[in-house]
Amino acid sequence: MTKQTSIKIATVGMDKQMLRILEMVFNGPGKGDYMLVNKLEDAQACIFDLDNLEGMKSWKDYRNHDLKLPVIILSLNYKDIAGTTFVRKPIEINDLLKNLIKITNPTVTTPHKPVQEESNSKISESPSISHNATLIAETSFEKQNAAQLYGNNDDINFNNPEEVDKLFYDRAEYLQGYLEYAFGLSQELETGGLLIEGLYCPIILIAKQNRILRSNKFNDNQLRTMTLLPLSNITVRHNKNHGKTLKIHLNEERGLNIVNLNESELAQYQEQYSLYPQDLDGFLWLIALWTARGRLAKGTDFNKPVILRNWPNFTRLIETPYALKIAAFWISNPRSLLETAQILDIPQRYVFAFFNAAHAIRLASTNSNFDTSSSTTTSFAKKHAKRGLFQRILTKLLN
Amino acid sequence: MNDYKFIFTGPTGSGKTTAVAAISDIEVVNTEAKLSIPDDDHSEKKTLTVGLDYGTLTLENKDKIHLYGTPGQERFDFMWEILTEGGLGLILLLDNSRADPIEDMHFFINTFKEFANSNRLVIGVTHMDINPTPTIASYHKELEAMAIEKLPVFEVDARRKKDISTLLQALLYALDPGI
Ligand SMILES: Nc1nc2c(ncn2[C@@H]2O[C@H](COP(=O)(O)OP(=O)(O)O)[C@@H](O)[C@H]2O)c(=O)[nH]1
Ligand SMILES: [Mg+2]
Repeated sequence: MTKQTSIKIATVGMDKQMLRILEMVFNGPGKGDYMLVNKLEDAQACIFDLDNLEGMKSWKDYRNHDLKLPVIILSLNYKDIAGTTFVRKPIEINDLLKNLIKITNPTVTTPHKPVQEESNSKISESPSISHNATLIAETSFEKQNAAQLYGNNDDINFNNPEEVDKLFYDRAEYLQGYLEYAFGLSQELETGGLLIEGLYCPIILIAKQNRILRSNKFNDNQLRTMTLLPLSNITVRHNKNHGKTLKIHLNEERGLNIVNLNESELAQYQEQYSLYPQDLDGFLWLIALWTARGRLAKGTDFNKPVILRNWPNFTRLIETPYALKIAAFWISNPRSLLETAQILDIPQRYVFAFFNAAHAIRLASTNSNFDTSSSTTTSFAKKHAKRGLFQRILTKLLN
Repeated sequence: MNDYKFIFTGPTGSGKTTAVAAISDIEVVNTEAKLSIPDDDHSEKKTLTVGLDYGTLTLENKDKIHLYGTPGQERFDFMWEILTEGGLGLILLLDNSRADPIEDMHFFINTFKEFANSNRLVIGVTHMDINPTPTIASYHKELEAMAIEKLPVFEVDARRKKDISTLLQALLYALDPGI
């Protein structure tokens, strides 16, 4: 559906799937106003995907190049690069089209009305585009469903062994257990990363940078489904040799391979599979919430005091209900899970969900030899003289 | 009415002005504060003018909380009174894209020890989108080595109101988990 007047767009650093989506967007909602070309030299504007090595490298080359085209930068994280226009991934079709109009026609400051409206209707008409649109829109942490994260258990009666029994699950039977095992291994690596093969797509853990590399073909829905399946029959093999020698194992009976990758292998994988980076702790935190849904990992003692090693990085983790309050409480008062729910008057499932997620990233434990060094028990009952003021500030901040 | 304040400090470019603007009810202004400092050779005093970012949070009962952003790395000793009197807490912003942000942390924590020791300090690490390392865990490790009590250290983007708000909420809960 390209036209004589189609504006030629070159892309850099994009995987095939992404290109196909762009093509569909240009032909569908874009009404043929744009077409993809292979070479920057032939293009009137270009789009750089900076979330992989090729894109990053090409961008650096391009920057030093004489050719100056209008540029859109795509990334999961905000990039403030002078002279470019940023579009956040996962891409929203309207957002992309609006910015394409802006950069290819700088005199237009407000978007063409038709694009806004028609693109929406086009999306719902065309199943393939709408499918892909949701696919790329799904990888955000923002829209999580509370029941999927915290379950909906009522507080349990601890005198009823049946209820207590149902509270626990075995991490080792789920993807969570494998990922945490791999996390432990990756923490020991000084360089390179740890590859896990055998899931939908390869994922790579780089603990030293708090990064996980994952393909956007492996979306949150697929991932969540995997966290719920018992994997107890799967074998895990760990080989410290590097990737190439191990690739032969890939199709050997079902199982997960854990492979140490050196820097150059890591770069290769990242390019080959278009892997994008995400915070590793945020990833494991989410996996633990999905798997547990308000339950506790086997081995947790709900009568022992909780040691919270540090404040979790709440701006980049799913902030579970009452998380800041619970964190502040545990930092100053190591109390048991049961007491915590009672004293703070918070539904147990929220206390459990937070603890279990923090435990998954090794920030919390009920094991008393875990580092109790600097825990100072302040009297919780003692009301701070400025509590009223603090509450008013809090109210202000929350709205 | 009491003059309570939150102070934002950190190196130049770490996002102080942006952070104050992100949560302030009013447009951020740069106020000039005149400080008297002793001259080096003479015993008479010299006046030094510093610019502070200023914004407010107006509470439901109309009380105003003052928000101050300090200059980058000035002589905090002479601003001490302005900064500490009524200071509910200190928000230290560190720029992860600078050469050695951990070193920056040392400087500011030593300067504002009083806040660190009284649980009135939180740290926001900005520009992690540009430089993912040092990680938040490395900051915690360093704080532990400095024998500073556990305090909130969050990745923030100063342009995101929600990030700055979460950091301030953590400060309040750290002061009083019972709120
Ligand atoms: N990329 C990026 N830019 C940021 C972040 N936080 C703040 N900035 C930008 O950093 C620049 C310096 O911020 P500013 O508030 O002037 O710093 P100040 O010198 O501490 O007052 C501004 O352009 C901000 O928009 C961040 O987390 N990431
Ligand atoms: Mg400033």
